[in-house]
Amino acid sequence: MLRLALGALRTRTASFAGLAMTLLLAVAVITLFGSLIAAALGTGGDSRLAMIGGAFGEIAMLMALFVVANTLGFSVRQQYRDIALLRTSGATPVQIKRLVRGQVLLVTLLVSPAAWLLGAWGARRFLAELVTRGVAPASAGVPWSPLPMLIGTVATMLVGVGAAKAAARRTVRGRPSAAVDQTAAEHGGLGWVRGIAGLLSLTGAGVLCGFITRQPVDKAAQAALLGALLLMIAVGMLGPLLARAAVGLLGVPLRLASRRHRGEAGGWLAATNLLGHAHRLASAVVPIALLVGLSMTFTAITGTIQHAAAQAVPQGAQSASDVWLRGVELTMLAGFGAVATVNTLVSLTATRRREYALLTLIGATRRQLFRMLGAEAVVTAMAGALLGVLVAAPVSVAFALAATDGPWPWLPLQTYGPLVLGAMALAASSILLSGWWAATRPALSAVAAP
Amino acid sequence: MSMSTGPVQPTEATGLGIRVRNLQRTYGRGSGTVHALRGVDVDFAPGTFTAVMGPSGSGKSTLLQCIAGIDRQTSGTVLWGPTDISALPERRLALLRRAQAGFVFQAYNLMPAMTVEQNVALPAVLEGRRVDWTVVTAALAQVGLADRRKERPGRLSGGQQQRVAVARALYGRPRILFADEPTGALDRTTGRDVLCLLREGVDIEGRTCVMVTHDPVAAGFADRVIVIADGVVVDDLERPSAALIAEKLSGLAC
Repeated sequence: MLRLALGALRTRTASFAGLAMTLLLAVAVITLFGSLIAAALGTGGDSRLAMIGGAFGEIAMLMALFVVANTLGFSVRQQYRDIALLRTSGATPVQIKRLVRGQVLLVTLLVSPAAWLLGAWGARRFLAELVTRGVAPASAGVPWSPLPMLIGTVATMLVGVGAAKAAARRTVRGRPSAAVDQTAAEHGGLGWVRGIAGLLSLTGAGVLCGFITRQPVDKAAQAALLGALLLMIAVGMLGPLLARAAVGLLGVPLRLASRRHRGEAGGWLAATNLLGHAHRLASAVVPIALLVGLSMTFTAITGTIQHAAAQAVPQGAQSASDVWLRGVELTMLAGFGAVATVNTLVSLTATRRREYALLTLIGATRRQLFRMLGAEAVVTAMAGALLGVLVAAPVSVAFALAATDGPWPWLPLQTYGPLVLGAMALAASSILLSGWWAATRPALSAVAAP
Repeated sequence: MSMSTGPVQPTEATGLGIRVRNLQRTYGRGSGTVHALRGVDVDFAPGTFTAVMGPSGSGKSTLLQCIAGIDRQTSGTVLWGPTDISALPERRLALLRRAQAGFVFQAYNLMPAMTVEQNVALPAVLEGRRVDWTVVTAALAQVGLADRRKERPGRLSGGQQQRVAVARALYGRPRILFADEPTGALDRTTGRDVLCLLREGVDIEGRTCVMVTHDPVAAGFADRVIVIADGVVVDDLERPSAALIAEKLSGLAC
């Protein structure tokens, strides 16, 4: 099975690149915050440094977990037919699970050295910055220790193995013959495990929101981020339903427009493609929602704190470095979200090459193809942003209730505007560029290929 | 071509003739050059059904793709009626293809996200024509799938998917139909159904049909069989028996 896992990696380098990137980020981030905690211990347990390392690390770990699980599930789904083929030639479900697990472990190991370097470098930069801002004592330094790196790799592996188990579960269910059919069947419905898990995380997030409102600002901020992550998990689980609802809503103008401009089938094609493939759509929408939702939650928390602070006593240096710290955290989250978004959308679009080819062969012009891609890109990005706002809203309101005396979070337009627009632009351009690439390959070989 | 979407009626021969002259297609360059077609000359008369046969790697699929305007020849000319498609720019060729030609492939014929009837109506949608859903249903009824029209292709069997692809070609009423191993993935009975549909299109609507196949039984539905080997036409047979086809092919395989 290890040899098979290696073989799959070698022949499908492109589709593993995204997974590798995510795993690299996960290992690097855990190494980074592990090193910070080590530095705190080195300076005699500087509590503030340890707190920063811990709080950041916690969010980073959860984020890494979510993104790794999402990417891995996606990468396994991409191999659906290969796996089905293996099963028809006699591979048992256990062997398939071992194969998927082997892939994650292998890729994690492969990317680890680079991730360690990245994490160690990041930790030193971060610490230097903290020292300059007076948050950490000047004596603080990152000690040389292999422990954070080891923890980074092992923790990522554990997360990966868990995610692999969940991802492989779906592929080994049912008869393999169904999976080698020519036109991949859309899985019906959600599956009860996923549905229940989604509802549980939704309930958990609800309870957490109630809890947030009764917390002091510091704890509430951390809990609000956790709440946003929980909601994201719910979105990930219930994705197909939610994405469909969002596109159903946004697709109405598309259909109307395509009805008016007869002859420009792009809008109709886009709406049909998006609505007809709920799982594929959900895979595309979830990372965008993650990017928008988390950065918005973050911006809301920071904005509300600043606003409340400005109304009370001006606080000086302490709050300035707090704001900077939040900014770093935001950058980190946005980085994760952006990698997940680009990775998912690019491979999702590229695998639809045969569809574009088929459309070309039965008479779609390039213009129609690109209009379709454009419409799909815009609607997908908007649906993602819409879900992101829905994720950010409840936790932000709960936080506002905790930090101020009203339910309205302070969201400075100049901060979240570029964030949301940037996320949407990133998503749309990923779809368009990779779609362009996929659609301009010779149509023929794509359809003729077995 | 008339765009009427009324029920299928017998008409005068509406098929377009195809004329292929000195068609060459090479892949790669230098020492790795593969000559898939080494100068093919062949005519397909309007309203006829021709099967293209040959061993694997003989160039039969390349020939179909070049004459169907979905692959570009390295040199030589392909004419559809009066139009030299080998000289057309990509956009004009795309428009011509969708107006005049229909395609049925061995695999991956349908858009997975669209329902069966949406798949059938797709060429009309792409042309910007008003879709007459009763005609779509009629086309599906012709292939025996009217009751599955709201389903997505993933829920259909391979044979049913292939029949949907044929229904799409029928609905567009193309003047030429290109089929690449249309029965390759089908069982005997379903394969027969698909071949009968292709045959009817030729007999009733006067369509020109070119089909690549390796199955002598499938070739038996054609008026004429041309055999390709090593990128050239080696045999041209009028209504050969299955036994004769098998004999010609087994001679090539050795």
